[in-house]
Amino acid sequence: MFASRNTKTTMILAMMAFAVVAAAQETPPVDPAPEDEVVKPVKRWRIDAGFADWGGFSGNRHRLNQYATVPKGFVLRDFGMVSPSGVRGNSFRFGVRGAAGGDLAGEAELVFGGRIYARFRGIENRSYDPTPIPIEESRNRALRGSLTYAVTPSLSAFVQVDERRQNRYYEPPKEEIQDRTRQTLAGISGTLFGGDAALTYSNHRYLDRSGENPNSTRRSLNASYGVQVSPTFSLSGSYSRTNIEQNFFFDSQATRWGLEGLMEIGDDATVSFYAKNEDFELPNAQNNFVRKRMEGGINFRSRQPSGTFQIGIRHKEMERFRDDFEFVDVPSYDRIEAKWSSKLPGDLRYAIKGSWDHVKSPPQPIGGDERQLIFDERIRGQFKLDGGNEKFSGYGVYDFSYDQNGPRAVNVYGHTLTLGGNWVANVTTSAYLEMIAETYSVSHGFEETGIRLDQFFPSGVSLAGGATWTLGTTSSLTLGASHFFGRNENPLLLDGGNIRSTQITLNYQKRLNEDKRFEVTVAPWSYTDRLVSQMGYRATVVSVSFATKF
Amino acid sequence: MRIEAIILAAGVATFLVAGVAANQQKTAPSQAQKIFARAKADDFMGDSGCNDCHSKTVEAFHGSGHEAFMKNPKAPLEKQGCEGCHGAGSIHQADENPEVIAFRSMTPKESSAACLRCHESTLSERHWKLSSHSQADLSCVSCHQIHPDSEPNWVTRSGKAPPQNPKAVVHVARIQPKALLMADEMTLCGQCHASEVAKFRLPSHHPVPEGNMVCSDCHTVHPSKAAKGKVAHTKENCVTCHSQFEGPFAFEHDPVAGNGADGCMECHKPHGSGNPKMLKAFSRGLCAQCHTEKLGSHYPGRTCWSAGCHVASHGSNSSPHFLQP
Repeated sequence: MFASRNTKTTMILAMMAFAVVAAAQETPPVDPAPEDEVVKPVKRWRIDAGFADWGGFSGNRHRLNQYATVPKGFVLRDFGMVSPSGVRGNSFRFGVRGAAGGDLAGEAELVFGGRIYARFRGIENRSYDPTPIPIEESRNRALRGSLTYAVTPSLSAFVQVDERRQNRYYEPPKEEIQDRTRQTLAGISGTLFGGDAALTYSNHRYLDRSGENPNSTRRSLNASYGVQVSPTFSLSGSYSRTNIEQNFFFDSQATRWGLEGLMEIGDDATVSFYAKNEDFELPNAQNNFVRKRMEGGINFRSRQPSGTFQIGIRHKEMERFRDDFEFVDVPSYDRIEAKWSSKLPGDLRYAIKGSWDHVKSPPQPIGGDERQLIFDERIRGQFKLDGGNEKFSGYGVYDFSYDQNGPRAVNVYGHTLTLGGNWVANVTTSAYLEMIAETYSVSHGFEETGIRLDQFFPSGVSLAGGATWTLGTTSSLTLGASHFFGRNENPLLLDGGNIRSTQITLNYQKRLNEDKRFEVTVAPWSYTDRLVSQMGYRATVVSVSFATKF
Repeated sequence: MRIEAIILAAGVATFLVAGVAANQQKTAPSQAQKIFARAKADDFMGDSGCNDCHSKTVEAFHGSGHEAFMKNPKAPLEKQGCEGCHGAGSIHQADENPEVIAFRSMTPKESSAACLRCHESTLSERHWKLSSHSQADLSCVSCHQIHPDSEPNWVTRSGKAPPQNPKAVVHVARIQPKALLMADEMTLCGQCHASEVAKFRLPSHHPVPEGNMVCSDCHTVHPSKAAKGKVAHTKENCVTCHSQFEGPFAFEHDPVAGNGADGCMECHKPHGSGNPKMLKAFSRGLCAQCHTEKLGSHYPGRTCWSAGCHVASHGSNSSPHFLQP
């Protein structure tokens, strides 16, 4: 699994790249065509292909390919076409991309008669669970096809089919998962008796080939209807019924209805509200379970010359059986939220928002420690400032979070600061910088065996920056870089806690003529786990590609 | 049960009254509706009339995914070609009171109303008004680009240019946005939701920077009539992809079942985290926030789920302590 250094291939690719760049630079600039020249036929096809390599790769291949396979070998960056403009409302376009032995993606769109719209999308993704030991490659394939038909200008029908197949392998002792889901959605929506009506049916099948979970089928029927009661008041309602069949188990049901509305008060104020109710029949549940959830809320928003103000309250409560089925808890959740946004001199805007959640009558565990398990107070806050002009622009966001479990004396404070800025130096040069930093402070009323809860809330900083230079009329150079540094006490000395990762990407593009483009990318990436060295990697991804239209 | 029946009856009664009222009262016409109401059949000139002055725009429109919809031969004149969106050409050229529907110079409300003239079968103005995007004074053309040649001016739109994503240049198998979006979704959504998009740079994230997912895979941007992706689940939207955690299980874990405040997000940060698996806390600290008595003395030195003990922490059909699936 750990590749040896492969500098030879990298050097060859780099030499090819610079040779083509040099050749391209010697090419005299293409003169713009005179205005009165005959219009060239539109080129409908396009292709962008090349080669890539992980130059001098060393370390953990799993970590490099944790979310997607980095291309290696032949790369098809884009191949597709757009059909000629449809005289009778027909059009077709498609595009596919992928790398040999790596990820693949593609999509196609079809419009027929200006009334039928079909879209297909597919992706096959290969990745790894990041582990220090060799494991099999995981694969995830997702396909989606959808068709919408405008029966009349006010009535449309649609069907959508999704299929997802995953083979995922993990570091033992976690078992592999091999499953497949297929969901079919079909519905019709349109205008009925002056209102908006919709009816949707969904069938969701789950097949677990690894035998971890029972196979299941979920069928849902959704209906909704909404009306504009008056020019300033609208109301809509919805109902859904879901039935879940599971192999070797009884069927389960969920029923939901909801109501929502919006009232406009003058031109600058609105009141919106909602209410919903969910009932669950879960005959297989053997521990605590919720049989009913009810929720409602009201929100007021006012736009004034000085800014926009918003305030809302929500209430949720549920009926929850305790473990022994002898008592029903009725916990309730209240939320108050508010937001104010306004402008400042100098093209600056700011927004302040916050919410406060409080839990009443939290459910009580039975046996052993009977203190509640859930947070009973939550506060979220955000201050955001952004603005700028065509030369400088920037933004800053500070997020605050607080979670408290009173009886267990747990208090978790979170602080996140995000700063970003963009500088357009001149017509040929621009640069940006972005930073996100997270820190936590945790207090608690217990200590066991010398381990503290706050030791499991690490802080981290991610920095990103880059610049784009336009070189003459046909070339551009783009540099992008991001760096993450995590600070973690990690008392258990586990992997994934004390990491440092850097991705630098340098991209050069040369336009050879109106339809042809050459591109070279050099991307030195590294990942270091300061405690578990087997988790790190170092690679210089090099790719060259050539794009043309025909 | 009695209260529920009363609420349900009140709701049904409200709808009956509302339905009757809706047939009697109509909303005020939008600016676009007024312009189209002014037009007579003779006022529609066809695209060739537009081509005389706007030849480049007309030519570029041939590459737009929207064009085919404007060439539906069965559609009425006021929904065909350039004039289907911008209004009749003769009114635009009239000596007296010339008018045109210019989407980017209208108020967001009027601009959206102009688009929704034709999209009423899937998204009505009433639905749009309920969305937080509408309430933030966005319009359809804030995100959608009908003419492929109109370069989005990021700086003037939001005060922020889209930062480069180093991974996007390297990973090639990317899901492309729908044809009418102004940019890829990470760039587009990041114009306003910059801090959320920045979190995808953290080491543990959903594979959006790598191109295997897009924002709208999870977020419903349009509250459309049918709300296609939002069919009621017993759990959250997450189980659309992570179906193995949907259950229902014989032994449910309260937060996963949505009985806590934030459901899946009680433990995970879906945009990104410095901790593995997008977790809010590292290793057993995550569980010990609630199960405080288990922090150090209960099998110390191990992570609760990956050490082979609570392997079914999302729910189990055989073990009340989630020791096996």
